[in-house]
Amino acid sequence: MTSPLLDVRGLRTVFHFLDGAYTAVDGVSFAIRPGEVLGLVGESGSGKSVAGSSLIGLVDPPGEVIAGEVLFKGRDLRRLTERELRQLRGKEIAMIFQDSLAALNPVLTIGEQMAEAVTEHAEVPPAAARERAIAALRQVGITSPETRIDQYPHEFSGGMRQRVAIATALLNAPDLIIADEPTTALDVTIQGQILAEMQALARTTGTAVMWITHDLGVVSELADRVAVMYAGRIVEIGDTDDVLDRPRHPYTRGLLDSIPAENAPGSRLRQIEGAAPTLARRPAGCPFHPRCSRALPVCQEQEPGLSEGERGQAWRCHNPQEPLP
Amino acid sequence: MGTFVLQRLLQSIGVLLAVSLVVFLAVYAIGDPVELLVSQEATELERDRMIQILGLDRPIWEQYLTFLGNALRGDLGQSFVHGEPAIQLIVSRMPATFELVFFALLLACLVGIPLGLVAGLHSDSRTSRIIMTGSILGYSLPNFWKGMMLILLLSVWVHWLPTSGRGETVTVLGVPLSFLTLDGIRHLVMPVLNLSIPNMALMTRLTASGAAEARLQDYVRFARAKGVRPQGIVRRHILRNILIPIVTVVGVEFGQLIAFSTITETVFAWPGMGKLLITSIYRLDRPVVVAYIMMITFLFVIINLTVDLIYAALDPRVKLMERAS
Amino acid sequence: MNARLLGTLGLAILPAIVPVSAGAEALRIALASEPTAADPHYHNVSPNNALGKYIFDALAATNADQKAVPGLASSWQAVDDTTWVFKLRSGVKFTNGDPFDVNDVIFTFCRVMNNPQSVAGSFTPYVTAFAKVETPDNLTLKITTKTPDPLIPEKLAEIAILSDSIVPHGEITFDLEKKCGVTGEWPTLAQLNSGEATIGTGPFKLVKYVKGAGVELVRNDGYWGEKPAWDKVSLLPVPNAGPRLAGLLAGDYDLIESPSARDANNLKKDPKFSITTKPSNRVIFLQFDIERDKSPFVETADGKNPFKDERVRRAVSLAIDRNVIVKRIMDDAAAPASQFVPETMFGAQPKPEPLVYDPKKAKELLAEAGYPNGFKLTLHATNDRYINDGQVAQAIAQFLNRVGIQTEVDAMTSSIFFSRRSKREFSLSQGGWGSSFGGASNFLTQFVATNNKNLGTGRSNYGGWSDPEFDAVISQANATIDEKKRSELLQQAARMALKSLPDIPIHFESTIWAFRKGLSYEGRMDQYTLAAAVKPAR
Repeated sequence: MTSPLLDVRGLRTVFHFLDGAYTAVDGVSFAIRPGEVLGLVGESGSGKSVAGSSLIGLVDPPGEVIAGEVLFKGRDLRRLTERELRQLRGKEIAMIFQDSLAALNPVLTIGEQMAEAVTEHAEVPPAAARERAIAALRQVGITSPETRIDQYPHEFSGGMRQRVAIATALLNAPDLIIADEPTTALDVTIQGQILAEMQALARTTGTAVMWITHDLGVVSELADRVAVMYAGRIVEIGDTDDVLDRPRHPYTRGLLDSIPAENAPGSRLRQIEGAAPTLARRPAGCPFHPRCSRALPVCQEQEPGLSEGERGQAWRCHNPQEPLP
Repeated sequence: MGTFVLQRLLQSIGVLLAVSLVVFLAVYAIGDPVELLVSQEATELERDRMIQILGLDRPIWEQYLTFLGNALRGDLGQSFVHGEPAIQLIVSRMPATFELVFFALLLACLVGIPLGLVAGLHSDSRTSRIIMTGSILGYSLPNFWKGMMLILLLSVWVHWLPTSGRGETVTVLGVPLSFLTLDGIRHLVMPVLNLSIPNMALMTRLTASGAAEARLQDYVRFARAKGVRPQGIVRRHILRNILIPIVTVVGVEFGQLIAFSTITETVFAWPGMGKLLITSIYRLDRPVVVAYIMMITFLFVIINLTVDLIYAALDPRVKLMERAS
Repeated sequence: MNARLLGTLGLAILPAIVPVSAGAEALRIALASEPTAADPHYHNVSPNNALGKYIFDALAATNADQKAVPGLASSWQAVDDTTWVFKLRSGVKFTNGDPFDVNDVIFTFCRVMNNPQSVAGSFTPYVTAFAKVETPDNLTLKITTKTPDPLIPEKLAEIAILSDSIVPHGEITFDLEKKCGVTGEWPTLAQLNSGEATIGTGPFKLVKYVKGAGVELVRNDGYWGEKPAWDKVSLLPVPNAGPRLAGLLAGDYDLIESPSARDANNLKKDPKFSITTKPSNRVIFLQFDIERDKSPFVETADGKNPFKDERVRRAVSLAIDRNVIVKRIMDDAAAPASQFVPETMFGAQPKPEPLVYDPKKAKELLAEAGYPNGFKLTLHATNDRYINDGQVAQAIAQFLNRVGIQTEVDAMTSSIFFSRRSKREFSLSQGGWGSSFGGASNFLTQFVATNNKNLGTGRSNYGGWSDPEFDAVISQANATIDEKKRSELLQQAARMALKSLPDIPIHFESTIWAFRKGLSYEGRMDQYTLAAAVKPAR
């Protein structure tokens, strides 16, 4: 197996509030191989976005990454100075945000904001940077990029804007793109388009992608591997097919069952009882036990360790599901 | 844009009319200017003649209509006290006030904006707290006291600067300006400082709050994710965005200071408009008071218009015609 | 721009280490109020009149005690009750070379009558009093008045003489119908403010008059009188007392008008400065509403107006301790008043009967008059016109309270006060009056004589006091040309007024000038600051 591009070990991020430190990311470990697409799935509050930001040091106070290693191409990103991290961001690792309108500065043109990404990392004259930006826009399927490059963010539709974001991310040919719920705010048809394009781009450019989402359906189309997050921990990880067809963790099972398409027409939608715990009220033992149909007494007391299966599938559960045939 | 400007100017006529009515009634209803004008030994005959000349024997609505009629021909009345047309009197004082206000606001921006940026971007630091506390002081010190203190410190204790008055002027395009002579600059320093300090405080606080807010915006995060350096973030992303409220405030302050820099002008015997207004009010020089208020209203109309135009230039999301309505 | 500004600021600081001192011949005076014009006929107000005396002369001049002394007229005589002959000084030239003669005087009179821009026809009453003006020769002026007026020299001292050379003219005669012989346009306010027509015979020449910035003057080296010690004079308006004083302390000004009394007392102790204090012609006084049976701001048990009773009026005067007011409220920058003009003025009693402080007697008089428990009263006053006027009113109210008159003070801004007072809205009002000429007759004619539109008397007699005997004496005095006789009559009239007390004098304001050591200024009762009289001290 090729050595991983990104190897995260035991990442822990807390938020310091007046009444104490709350753990948002609780010892998360995963790896991404070059060119691989990892889907990080979880409900809101699971810590998935924080996990993404934590990788490149974009967690703002009162949050703080307090433990773990983030090995990227062999270097531990946590040990880098802010300056070194800055040189890395946008060049070797790029990020795409959920709210494309908020992520773009309303008073600057698309071109200015894209060129910025280029000129920040290399001595490139403005004209050349502009050309590269136009080419990138074309690459993501935006028509008449020469004119559109001088337009402002509010003149683009949501889908177009995310394309711009993707184009910006691709400008410096990064090794890894962290995409934090980029299609969540878009309507379904656009979402589908973007996903398809993203997949194609990733394949052609060989860029690894960490796609953070709450939508298993999205992940099923796009990702090579899936990691399921709950209450700040990864509860199951593995190849997409394995995780989606043969989930071991009850939570994963629950998520899959609650996909409307999985239900027989006319029957009641299945849902997981209860709600995800807030940052403040993580249950003791296995954080999922209050909602788990398979909970055992041991689940209340002890946190489950990591169990491994075939092809690198792993899960944390005292009472995992048996793989369905 | 032409239609916008035209529409605005037409609207302003309504405002001017309303203001003229209110001010006219307010000023003409109180006191008896003739008492203050006629020499103590004047006969009844002289007094009556004066009343007649000034038109004060006619009913107030007739006086108002005469005033309006003259106003349409550009004549806003003759000063009771100075015997000159009121407009001429006010305009002759404008260069002095404009000079004072311009430099005061310039200084306020040159000092306030950088300080505000420092305070807003590092809002948890001690420097920031010192700056913000200092700004409260700058804002709360009474103008009169501050002016006298400046005079005490810089003129009386150390003879660095002259106590009051305007210095030598050089006439440029028919306008006497004092900042072009050394003597003029020496006379400008203290009144400009006095007028500037509360505005510095205002700029500081405004910039600080704007910067603190901008710092948390997603587009700033996105820029950081692209690896943009802090200077770049401040320059391109934060500054451009906070300029909008700053421009609005500067516009309003400009109008406000032009019209009502009375205290500073009184303390420093600065021959400007504010002092003229106060003296005219005391002496019941009604035409001057009315003309003054109307000219100031018009000035505010122009300032608002300019601010809106600049606003539209700065923020591409703004559509001019919407603002017109 | 930033760096340049800093650099210039740095440069600005340097020269002040070596202070920029005025040359020995230049005098910088800070004025308390700005002249509104350089046209001496524009508005009859003190700052303008004072400026006029720099640039122009009049036929007569007034000395520090407001007595008429020779000016451009070297002597005059009242030939009879309505005829005056003035002998003009010879060899006097205007600053443009035009020789001074009777034509300039006639032209000036005519100009006063043809000055539509002037405020309230400021000087026209003086000229309309002339029936005829003749010129027996080039340097002799014969004026016939319509009625006997002993104050002709003093009034003529108010009219600044312009040069007839500023307008095209034919032969000049005092014929108003024929424009006096002037063929061109009469000089305008603007021409006189700009200096174009500001040609005079006075000790200084106008260089520049800029509203708000001040007046620049230079010495008139061809002046016929005593040459002033100063080459250059700058008059700078600094209406606010604080900065004005600061300017003196900082050395920006050599002399300032009207520092506050407290500051003046501090300056006295400072070896770098001196002050001059002189009683002014301004008296602070109370005026009673006497005419009405019911007075709006008095509440008595029987509803009647108590001020109709002389005893009540006297009680009010006895209740007030003038010395305390002078000392505590006015910081000694005042003198207690027992008559309406200071003793040194013409027609004043040299030793008037003092108006004493006797609250016990005041209470007795009140009881006698039928007010043993006093009554309620509102005292109306200004709060921004005279020195410490609001506080003086409060003090007076306190004194009245002590004798049983429960007094409230309603102090207001002067513009409102004057208009209300002239509408006779008050019962007891506190006012101020500067007797600008005529000596003792001024106040008595204006305030105490019966209000008579035709005679022009009692114009400020808002209380409606009317004493025919008094009227007889004062009108006789005002028609008596002989000075000795007039003075006696005026003193008699004053005694009558001070017996019936329709108005009560409280104190005379003093005027204070402060200046750097090395100067001397005696001060003037009319409060003018005249650089010609400022001398380098020995």
